Amino acid sequence: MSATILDAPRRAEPPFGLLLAGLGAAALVAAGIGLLGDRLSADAVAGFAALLGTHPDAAWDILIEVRLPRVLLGAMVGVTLGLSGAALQGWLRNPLAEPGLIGASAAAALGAVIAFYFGIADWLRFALPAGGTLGALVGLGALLLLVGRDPSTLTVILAGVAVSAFAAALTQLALNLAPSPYAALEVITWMMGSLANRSLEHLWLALPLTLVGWALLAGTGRALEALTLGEDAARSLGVRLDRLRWRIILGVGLSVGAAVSVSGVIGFVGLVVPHLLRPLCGYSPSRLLPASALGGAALVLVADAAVRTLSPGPELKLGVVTALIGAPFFLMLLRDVRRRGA
Amino acid sequence: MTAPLEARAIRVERGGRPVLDRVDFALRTGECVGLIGPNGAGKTTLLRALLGLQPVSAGRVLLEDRPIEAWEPSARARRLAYLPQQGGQAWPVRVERFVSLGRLPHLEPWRGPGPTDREAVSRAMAAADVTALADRPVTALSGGEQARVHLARALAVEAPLLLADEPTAGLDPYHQLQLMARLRALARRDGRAVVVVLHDLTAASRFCDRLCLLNAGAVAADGPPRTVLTPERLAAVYGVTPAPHPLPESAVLPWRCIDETRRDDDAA
Amino acid sequence: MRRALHLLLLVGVLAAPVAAGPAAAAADKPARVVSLNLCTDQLALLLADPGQIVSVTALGARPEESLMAERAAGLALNHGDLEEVLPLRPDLAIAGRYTSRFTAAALARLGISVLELAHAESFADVRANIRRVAAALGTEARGAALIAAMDRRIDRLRRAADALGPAPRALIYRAGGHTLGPDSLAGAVLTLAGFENAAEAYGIARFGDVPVDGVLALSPDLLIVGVYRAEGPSLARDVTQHPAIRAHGVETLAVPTRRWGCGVPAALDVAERLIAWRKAWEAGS
Repeated sequence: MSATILDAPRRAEPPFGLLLAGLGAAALVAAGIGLLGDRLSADAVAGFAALLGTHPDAAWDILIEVRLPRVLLGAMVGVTLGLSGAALQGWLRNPLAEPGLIGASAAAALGAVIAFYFGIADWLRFALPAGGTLGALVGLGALLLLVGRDPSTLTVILAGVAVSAFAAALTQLALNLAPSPYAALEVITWMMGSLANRSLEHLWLALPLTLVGWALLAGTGRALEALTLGEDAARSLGVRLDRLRWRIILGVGLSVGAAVSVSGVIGFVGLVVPHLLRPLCGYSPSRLLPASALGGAALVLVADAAVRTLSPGPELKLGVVTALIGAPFFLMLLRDVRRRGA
Repeated sequence: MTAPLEARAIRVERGGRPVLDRVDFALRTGECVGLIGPNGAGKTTLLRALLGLQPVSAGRVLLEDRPIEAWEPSARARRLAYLPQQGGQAWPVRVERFVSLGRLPHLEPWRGPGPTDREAVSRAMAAADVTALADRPVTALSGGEQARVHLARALAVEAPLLLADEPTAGLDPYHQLQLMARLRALARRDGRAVVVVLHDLTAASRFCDRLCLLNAGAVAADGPPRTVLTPERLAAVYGVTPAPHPLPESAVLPWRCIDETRRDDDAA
Repeated sequence: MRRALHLLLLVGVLAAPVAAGPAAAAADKPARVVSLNLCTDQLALLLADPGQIVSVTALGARPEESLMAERAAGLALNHGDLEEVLPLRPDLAIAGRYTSRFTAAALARLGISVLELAHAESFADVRANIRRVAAALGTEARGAALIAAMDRRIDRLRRAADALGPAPRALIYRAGGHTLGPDSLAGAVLTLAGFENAAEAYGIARFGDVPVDGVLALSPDLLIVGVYRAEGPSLARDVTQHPAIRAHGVETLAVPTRRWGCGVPAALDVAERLIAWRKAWEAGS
């Protein structure tokens, strides 16, 4: 099914260590720009370095309390999206798989919207991230119920579409019934996805679940490798598919749920990053996991540094920018498929 | 002789209908067993049941006298290699990396393949005659080349037991003969045991020490090729009969249809 | 690219002796106030001493959106982002309840006082918000005077409305068929001007949508169309061009949304216009 998309002309495969080092360096450079770069259009606002001379307290607050959480959250969200995308694509053996596919993003968004809607987020500052994570877990619980004992990838995809659609419908319903048009506006803005104005507390709240999710996903490499051969052959090589399914669904759910709840929905990273890096990893699903994690972090950090420093006027939403980059990516895939079909 | 892999009176149902019923099967060390039978006889199901991939509703499968489901999966995988009928190749991996997937059950956690593994991989590639393809992406190969790469992957496990489902399908005559000779040598010379599903009855009688003939989910005959492939049984099970010698017509196949309604072997 | 050099600059600045800390702020009144929301901009600019406000939102400086755009001239403009606000070293931030949640939370975390205002849905809310902002700014007297003037004007308008005949039926109509019920500030203005709010008959208490057939069924005497700009097309105004509505000859009155979008005393200007319309309507019928 998918192999036709991937029979692209072979690119040279760099040494794996060099690839990881390069991606890590890209992420670090982007993080450095994120920490020290100032907004180019902000003439009314003193730059960071200027501020450091006149009002060092404000400058350090900006560095430690504003930019550092933003960069750390960007790295966290990027690693989560890249890792989840790589794991899902390897598991479903489908290059179009991404975290949104199994309903994790939509369910997390719903959970966060419910926190907004019932005003819980007003009196409990961290109801929002908690609501998002809870939403992702409930969504995945529903997914597992729908999937039942049938581990086939088609069932999972269909169940994921069902969970996504239902969560999206409930989100729309909540917006429709919102107590105030301004609350609805806030939710819509938040769902566009952004890392702006987050604090270290967001990081502390999201990090534990994220780390559990990462640990679950990191251990799937060998099973994903075996799945290259198909499900029966993978099982004959000692892979426990039921266990793999749990690991991936829980890992993606926990980490993506936590990420969505602090950043809103940031699409396409989980789709584009594994796809671009796969040839550079020799199409090895297990090598793709760390590469996509670093690549995801690099992409999110670069995109976020760009929206922060280059936005004219109001800051562009990160999720909007990744979608702008990501949507033409489908055109690229389509072109490859059609060229092959011709 | 011991029987490291054994099925005792197993029954497999699908949608309430038995696909296998009271099937006994034993694989002994050093033998190459051909599993034959018309389409839908239950050959692949029996193979999957022997591997523990297919749950049985009655009877049991024993690997080295232990129930197959009691085995730790990677320990089982080191003893029992499987070459499925339709090999998957989800990604355009290089042939050498693809073959080395067979070493997965041998690897320590979080470790890559070591020198032993690399030797096993190059032995397997040489045996399946795919050494020359080592750097090609597996998806860019022809069907027959892919079949050989899949065989190499299964051989790379270097398990004492190998279950292969129609490995000769899609191979040219040269590679069919080479493959069958290789499987026989694996059993006779290396002291392994091989079960191979075949439709080519000539190859089955030439290369297998023993044939197990399945029909409609039951064992119709089990024994040396000469005693299994009798004209009566071929007629009853396959609806074909051996051609008389010398051939009265210029036929390539040494058999012909008995009647028009059973010409297609799918019709049964 | 130039900004990348800031790394070098940073190193240089770190090596330089640290400049003197910020001057001690006046004890009682906040001296550097930022407003993070269009509606809080209005109140802050109304109530603050000259120079007390250092930043309002970019919307607050746009005449299409803001009644106080002129007074916002020369102030730093923000979009509710921390990076715009922190360099101004505010001692008080006034934020709307919904629009800048993360920024307000982060400012509070940094020890900056944050005043969070709910959107005003009634004259009582307007009074409460004025009192809260005035108290936070240390300009209580100005706030009390503003409230007293507003109340006097409300009384005057109520008397003028009571002197007129039976209440006409009006429907507020904004983009997308959006309307406001009696439990909103615009609804309160409508009631004050002696109108019956047709949205109530449609079952809408605070806000909701009414389709074109709903407008016809309600058959209001007046359609108060919310416009964002005085000129140019607007989605809400397109509804008045709907053939069915034109055929019924419903009268329309265009009111810029900025006039009564925020809870400020100037929302009473709309009541004044509505009463003037009633007088003309009664004379005409």
